[in-house]
Amino acid sequence: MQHIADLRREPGELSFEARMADAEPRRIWFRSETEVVPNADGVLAACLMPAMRGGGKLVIDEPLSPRVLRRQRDYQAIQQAWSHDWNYDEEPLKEVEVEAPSRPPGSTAPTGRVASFFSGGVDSFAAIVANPEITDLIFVRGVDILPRLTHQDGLADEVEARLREAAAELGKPLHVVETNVRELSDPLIRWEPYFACPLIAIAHFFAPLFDRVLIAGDTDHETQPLMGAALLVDELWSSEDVDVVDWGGRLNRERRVEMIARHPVVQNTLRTCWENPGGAYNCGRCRKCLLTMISLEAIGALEEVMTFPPRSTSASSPMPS
Amino acid sequence: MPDSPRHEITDVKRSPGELSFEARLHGREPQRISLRSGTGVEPYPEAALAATLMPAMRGGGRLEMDEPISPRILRMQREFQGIQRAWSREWVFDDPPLEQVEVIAPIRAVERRKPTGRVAVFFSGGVDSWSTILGEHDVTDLIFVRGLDILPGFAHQEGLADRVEARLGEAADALGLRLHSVETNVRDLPEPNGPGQPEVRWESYYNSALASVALFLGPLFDRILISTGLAYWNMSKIGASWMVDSLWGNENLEIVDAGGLLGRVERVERIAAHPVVQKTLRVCWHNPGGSYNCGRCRKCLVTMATLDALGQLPEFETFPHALGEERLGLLAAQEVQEPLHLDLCEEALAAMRRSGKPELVRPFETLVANGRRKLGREDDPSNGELEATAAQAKLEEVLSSRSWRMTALRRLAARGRN
Repeated sequence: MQHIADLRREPGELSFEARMADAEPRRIWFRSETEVVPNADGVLAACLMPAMRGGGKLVIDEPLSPRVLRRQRDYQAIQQAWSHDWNYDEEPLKEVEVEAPSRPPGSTAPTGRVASFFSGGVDSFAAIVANPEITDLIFVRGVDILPRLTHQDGLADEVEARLREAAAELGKPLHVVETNVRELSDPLIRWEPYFACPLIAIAHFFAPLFDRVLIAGDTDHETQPLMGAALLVDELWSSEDVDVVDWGGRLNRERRVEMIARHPVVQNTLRTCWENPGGAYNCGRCRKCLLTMISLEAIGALEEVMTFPPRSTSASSPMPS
Repeated sequence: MPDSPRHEITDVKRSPGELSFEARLHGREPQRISLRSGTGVEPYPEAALAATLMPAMRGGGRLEMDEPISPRILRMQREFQGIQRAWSREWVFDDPPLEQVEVIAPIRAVERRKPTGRVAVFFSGGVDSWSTILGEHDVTDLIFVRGLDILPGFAHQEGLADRVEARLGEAADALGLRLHSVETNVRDLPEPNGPGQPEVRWESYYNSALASVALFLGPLFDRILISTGLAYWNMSKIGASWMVDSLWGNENLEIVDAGGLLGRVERVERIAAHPVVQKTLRVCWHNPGGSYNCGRCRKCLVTMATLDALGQLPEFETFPHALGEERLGLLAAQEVQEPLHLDLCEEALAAMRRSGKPELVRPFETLVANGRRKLGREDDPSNGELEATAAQAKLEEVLSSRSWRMTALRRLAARGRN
């Protein structure tokens, strides 16, 4: 049996002890300066896929949304089916029996607020540009920038500062969330299929504030592999209180770059690098940086984007395989 | 450069139990489309968009609608289009892919209403809808639609809709559920020249028709379930797959593609012993002579064999009580033309083997071997039996492959062992 124990919900903080199969018990937390009392549904979103590594039963004592409890079965079945085709040499995921009480369905009044996750990358900027109804942005520390990685030392602070400036210029509040959720997931499940799960958990963390939270995917419907957030599968995590929306499937990467390249805030903020050697904001030498730079160059916009190294130092670099 | 096609939905009329509108697609003469029911509910107007969108996508362009619709649907129809357009590139038909349509419509003010506590399932009397009804314990209502699989223009189906509705009404009464009957001609939209010349094929459109009916009756319900035909582990990218119809839900109605947790055989296992199912089960689409189930087509025969493997066929009033040599021969001689049908036959073959009835195994081995050969999945089908060496090679291929189709076989085998 896998068990989520000692779940605490306070203004700006959600934490719990995760006792997963074949792993040491860990205290997992999500914290934000935004003083909302988090919704507990996100705990299931954060823990379900790691629990599927071992299968069996997952027990949560806190009442959860009836809709989430119904639909997590389909989410599991879909992820389990897809896991047979993942290109890793791993056992497929196993179904988990979720045991949790159901809370009475409420009918919360719409807040009129729509949030989007914001990393400073092409996808999240494209979501912001394409959806003027977005009122709030969410930046997460502890998912792609990890405190334990020495080469990323100080990077989260720099990124947060830049995104705060960008959000201010866009006139949208930025909510910063910090989490150690990867201590739960990394021993059990790869980041590629899992990455949307902590974002869903954070969407539920903010459920009292927002009608809808957008997660910008990185591939379009025509090319996406059946993994992670493909085919809008995160819709299954929508509750009676908040809609979780996988955004971006209609647009390919080139189209997204075109949409955002001339925006002055983008030009001062765009961040695509995951390698960050020496704490670099964008290294300008990894595959992701180079592909983005080529896309910008193709439409004559690279020179205007201030966050990449000058052309003279990067254009002649061979593309890594 | 020619103008892009322009499509219109106009003259939308809504009254309790009726929705009708004019659809002008691809510059043709307008078609009057209607949905009618004895249930006096005022329909959601976006039912018209759900019915019309995919036929408009045959040519792309712009679709204008003057009736205000749900903001959520106006947002999410773009994603529905994006997914259907991507899927249409992989459909096994020789049709050109669908194209994006720009939908122009005003939005209506929406308030979240209190839950009604009612959940409906589309009910055809078939395996999938029966499995959903018996598996979902909060179902309160059933919906039967006339004009989708039983068409008024087909002489061989004359009177069939009345008989099916009567039987389903009896079944609903026995279950203590309310049956809503809806009659519609929405199929004229994808098939303006008749079912023989579809502009959008029924296999890819049927769920749009059901989404339209769901929105027609939607104000009564919190949730409406559309039963999908396949399980997630062998699901195709067509029709009511991968929860795509949830994109048609509005602020107060959830539309759910249900059933992906179970394979076809598991669904039959779930329903086979239920006495009301035994009086009602209907799987036939051929209906020669107006028959409820012909007992001779592939779908009837595979269902009968699965029931026989479970020892339940004699209990069914809607099928012949035994397969017999002639029907088993007919089963072996069926043509399997589509990958998803082969998947279903392979799943059934595994069930026949588990049943310990060799007389059922043999025709399925022939059926599957012929289907594999036809669809390029088999190397040596010379005598209809798998040669040992070919089987070993196939096994190795399956075990080492990571392709979706191959791992589907592997999953099937694993489920058989469990």
